[in-house]
Amino acid sequence: MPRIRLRDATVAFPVKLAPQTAAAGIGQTGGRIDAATRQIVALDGITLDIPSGSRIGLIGHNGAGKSTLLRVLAGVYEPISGEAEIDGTIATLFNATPGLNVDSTGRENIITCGLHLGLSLKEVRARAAEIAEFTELGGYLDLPVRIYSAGMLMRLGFAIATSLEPDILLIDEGLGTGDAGFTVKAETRMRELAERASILVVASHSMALLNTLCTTGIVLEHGKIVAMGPIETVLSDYRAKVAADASTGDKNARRAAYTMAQELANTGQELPPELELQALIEAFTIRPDDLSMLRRYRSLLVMLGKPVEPALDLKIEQATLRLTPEDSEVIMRILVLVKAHGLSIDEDIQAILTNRLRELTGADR
Amino acid sequence: MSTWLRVAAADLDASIARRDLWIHQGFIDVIRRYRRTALGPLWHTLHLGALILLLGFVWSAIFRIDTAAYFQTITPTLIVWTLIASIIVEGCGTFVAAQSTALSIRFPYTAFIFAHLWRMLLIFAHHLVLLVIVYLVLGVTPSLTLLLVIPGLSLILINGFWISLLLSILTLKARDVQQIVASGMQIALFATPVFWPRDLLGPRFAFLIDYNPLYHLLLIGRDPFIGRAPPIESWLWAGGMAAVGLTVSLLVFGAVRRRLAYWY
Repeated sequence: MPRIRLRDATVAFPVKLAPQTAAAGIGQTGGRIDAATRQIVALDGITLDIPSGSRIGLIGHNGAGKSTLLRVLAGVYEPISGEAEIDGTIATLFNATPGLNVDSTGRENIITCGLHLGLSLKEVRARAAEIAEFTELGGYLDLPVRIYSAGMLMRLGFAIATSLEPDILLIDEGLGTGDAGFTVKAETRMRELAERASILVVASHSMALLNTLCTTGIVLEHGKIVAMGPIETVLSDYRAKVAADASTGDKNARRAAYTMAQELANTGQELPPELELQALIEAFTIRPDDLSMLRRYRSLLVMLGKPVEPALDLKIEQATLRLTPEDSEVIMRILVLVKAHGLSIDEDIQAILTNRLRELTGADR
Repeated sequence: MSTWLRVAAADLDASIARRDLWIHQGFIDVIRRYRRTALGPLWHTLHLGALILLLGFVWSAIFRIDTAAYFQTITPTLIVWTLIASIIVEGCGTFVAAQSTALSIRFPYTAFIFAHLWRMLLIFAHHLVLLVIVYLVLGVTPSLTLLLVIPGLSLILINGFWISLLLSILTLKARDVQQIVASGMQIALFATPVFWPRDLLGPRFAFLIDYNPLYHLLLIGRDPFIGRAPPIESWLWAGGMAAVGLTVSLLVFGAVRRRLAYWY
């Protein structure tokens, strides 16, 4: 019965440290830098029991230890302390396709990479045609891989890696560079494969992918497991935490919220209002006067029951006036806001108002 | 110690189980050398051929020895030396070059060494063309002694295995090792009777030959091609080195096997 058990597993890499690096200690990203022992602690005492039937999604910021943990599960890294017991045949879908050679053709690489992944020559020959077909690369299969685009390489690597029938399937991101059509096809294939594998562990920033493939979520932070539970709960908690961290005003946390919101939006996923709010605050550092962003920001504040400052309203009106300088109603609202709250207006708006006043007084005469 | 040997044995076992892979990989690597060049690995053979031609005429004149006899010696000497030297020098980078595989899946590291040795053997086979040409031109008929090539080459490969394994580990830990080894082998080429006949050396530096393990390895691979049996002490040297070296390098490998991935 396939099973993975980690007991207090620690992975640390020896590094040469400059004194100032050592003083820095722990960064926003990455593992803990241990100055005393001169090493980067990538995984810090992980205890984990993954029985057969598990579908696990790994979540965490860049350098939280997701890839390192996957490599421990793959048996690539043996923990420097603690234990790792892994029973079952393993297939991995990491960034690099093992055995890939750029001077060989796609067809040759199907054979060599398949062999590297543990198939026998007979098995890989039997599957070669099916793998080739899945890539949809056609005539390119007979050309050296050197001339492939990143997306084509990904297709080849994915098709080879998913032709195996492993007990344990480990996936790191994986579906980065494919075009939309292939991504759908790849996700279907991955889901089928995941259904047949006894254990699935996926590390991804894509909440949607994790949600469809996994049942259990694990959040890693600086090499430690900080949360574990049903994927839905873990994901929503994680999103909430990112938003909450961002609302403390920490720049890096806000940046992280922005990145996450962007990812969610790009993949058509639902954005929690608090997260979107924080992401907008970050976005305002780039485009402070974008009208649609300002309006969205205001409606989010209302939605969350937060106070709307008159300064924000003024900002929105000013941005509106920039687009429609003739609108007297907007001018009226600006004047009211200024008068009621003692606010000052931007210089370019001041210029518009002066112009408008001159026109009006000119017309009177 | 016994744990180390067990780790090494398990790795060897897994490598042998995956012979499909490294046999195929060796072929592919050699075929790939043909790509984008007109001659591929035969360039190497051509280079060696030109060198033999030059040495054969000029150096036989320098040493005042019979040109035909010198050709008969220098050809297998250079071919076998090239095999030994390239096993050792190129062997250093074996683990470093395997990074993408080693970091993607649990893989028997010794399989990389097997692939390397097999590739070297295939390239060596190309060079044998030169020997055939020399035999044909000089009208030499190979005798039964030629069969001693089989144990001779086997011992070279066994020694090549432990040397490559040990150097691969060291190179992974400290990349300088490859440079040191490459420079060392170049110097060794001149300290070993490869170009010059050993009789010319005289007794003062005889130790350069008698205690030179590379020379003994060279002899057991080369002498059968010249039609004579390699001396007993060379067999003993090669066999003893294989036994000691294999034990040491497998112990070292077993001890550091779990750390190798950390050194990339």
